Amino acid sequence: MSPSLAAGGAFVLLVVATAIFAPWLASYSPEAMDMEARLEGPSASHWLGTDNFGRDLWARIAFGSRISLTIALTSVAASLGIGIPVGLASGYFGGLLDHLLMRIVDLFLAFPPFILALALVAVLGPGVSSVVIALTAIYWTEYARLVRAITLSESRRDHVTAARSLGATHANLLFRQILPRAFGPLAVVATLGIGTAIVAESGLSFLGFGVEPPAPTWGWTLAYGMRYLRSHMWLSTAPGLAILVTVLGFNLFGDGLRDRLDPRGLVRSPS
Amino acid sequence: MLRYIARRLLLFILTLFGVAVFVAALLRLVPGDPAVVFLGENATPDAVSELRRALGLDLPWPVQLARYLSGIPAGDLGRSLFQRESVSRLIAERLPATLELALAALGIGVAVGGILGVVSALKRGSLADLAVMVFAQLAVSVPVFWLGILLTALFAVHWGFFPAVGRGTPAHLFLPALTLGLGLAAVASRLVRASLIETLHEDYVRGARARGLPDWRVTAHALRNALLPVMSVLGVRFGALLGGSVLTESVFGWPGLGSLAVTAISQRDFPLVQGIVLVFASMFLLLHLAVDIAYGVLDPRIRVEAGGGPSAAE
Repeated sequence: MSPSLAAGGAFVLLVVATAIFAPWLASYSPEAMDMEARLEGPSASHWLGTDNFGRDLWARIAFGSRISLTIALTSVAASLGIGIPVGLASGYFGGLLDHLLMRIVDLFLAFPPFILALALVAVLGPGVSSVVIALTAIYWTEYARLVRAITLSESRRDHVTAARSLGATHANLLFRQILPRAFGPLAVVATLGIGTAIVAESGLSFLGFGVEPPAPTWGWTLAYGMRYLRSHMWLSTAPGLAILVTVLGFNLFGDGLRDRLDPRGLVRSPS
Repeated sequence: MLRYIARRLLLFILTLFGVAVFVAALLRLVPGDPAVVFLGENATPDAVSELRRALGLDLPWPVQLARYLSGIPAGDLGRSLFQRESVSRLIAERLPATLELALAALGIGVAVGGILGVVSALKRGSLADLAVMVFAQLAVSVPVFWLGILLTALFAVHWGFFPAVGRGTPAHLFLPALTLGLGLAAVASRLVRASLIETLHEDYVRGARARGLPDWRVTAHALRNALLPVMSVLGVRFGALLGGSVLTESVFGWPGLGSLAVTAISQRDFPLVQGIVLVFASMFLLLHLAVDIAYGVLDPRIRVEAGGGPSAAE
């Protein structure tokens, strides 16, 4: 196993385990306030200290991982759900349909991604579903382009030509002959995409446009901690580190997967 | 060459038109009545219908669209609901600050990333190479807003080397530009490294070495060709830079388009949000166009492949 895959896998496992076992790992509710324990430093009872409302910072980080992972996984799944059929149809049927679908992809790519997400959240209002829609809108194009490229090249291969000459249906060719060849590269892009989605979701929450407080999102916890930068720096350091470790984990894991599953180099580095 | 540029220009205009239609349609995505969303549930029916008229919501959708699109060439993007001023004027006031920040960040990203990439490629497998790759992985993964906070805490709050917020002097610009530029530097260093390693193994480079050319000249020769693909990807990365500028401006209180966007969204000022999104997308498309044309000028193979460039169709 490559060092990248091992290190990334360890980070990802750590974050996923924290999200699953958050109620057991944290001794407090992430929203429970204790005004007598405001802005306390790290201690045995509060591992990472408390915020201005006396809320346990570790509980907020642990439960925050659930929000970040849920939104990232849902938006990546939705992006796959849109991108795969669009890419397959575009690459397989070609012609006018391909032209039309790719112009729609071009339109979405014409916006700087985070600006498009902001615009959608601005009109849809804050909330989990708005964030998922916004992130899906900016990431589905990547899957559509990748699947289209693979479909174009696979359609001309011998195994597809042979299946076609034996009378295979379009559905059979698309879902049994072509799509399985895209699974490796798709797994790589989806893994890298989870990291990117977590950064975008945290960015929206940081600005106050993500999931609404008092939900313990990492981005909002970090933005709130910024107000106490001079006196209590750990308030912004802890959520920042949580985001970094998670994103680094998915990026390393994705890089490792690419070396293993994408020998043709169809997928680029996270950028 | 002229045909290539004309084709790119046509594609640019068509995409910009599509973007403008999308931006005009944004108002229709607002759940419920945008006038009620802005004024609140307790607004009087008179106030709501007045705002609906001001936003053009009382008109049929095709008329609304035609009105919005026809205003764009003259710079008429409507009026801000909250600040009651022309959207174009508000954007024009803030645009120079965002351009200043984005260009400074681009400069830092390309310079730092370029140098690190060259060092890493020439010292492949060394400790320096490993350090550059670790830096690149960390800088790609760190959220820009947290990096900004860390740099502020260290260089502004703790050591007092730079001001923490505001705009005016190069000292004000340094931390925000560094924050925004480091992510780009990470990507650039990886790209330059990979591209230069590949180019250094090309036959013409080995030929130049065999003819006895000094190492620095061979590297310079290879670097020129290695930078071509890097330029194309950096054009795409400019979109991330513009997105990052919203977050960076918020951290550093930088008075640009990004912080204006945050204010506009908080106030549900829809015409201002639409205008800012349109300007950001136009800047992004313009840079794409510039990169496409520069690429075509520098690499004749791109011109020959009709319609080449970073488009979804290729």
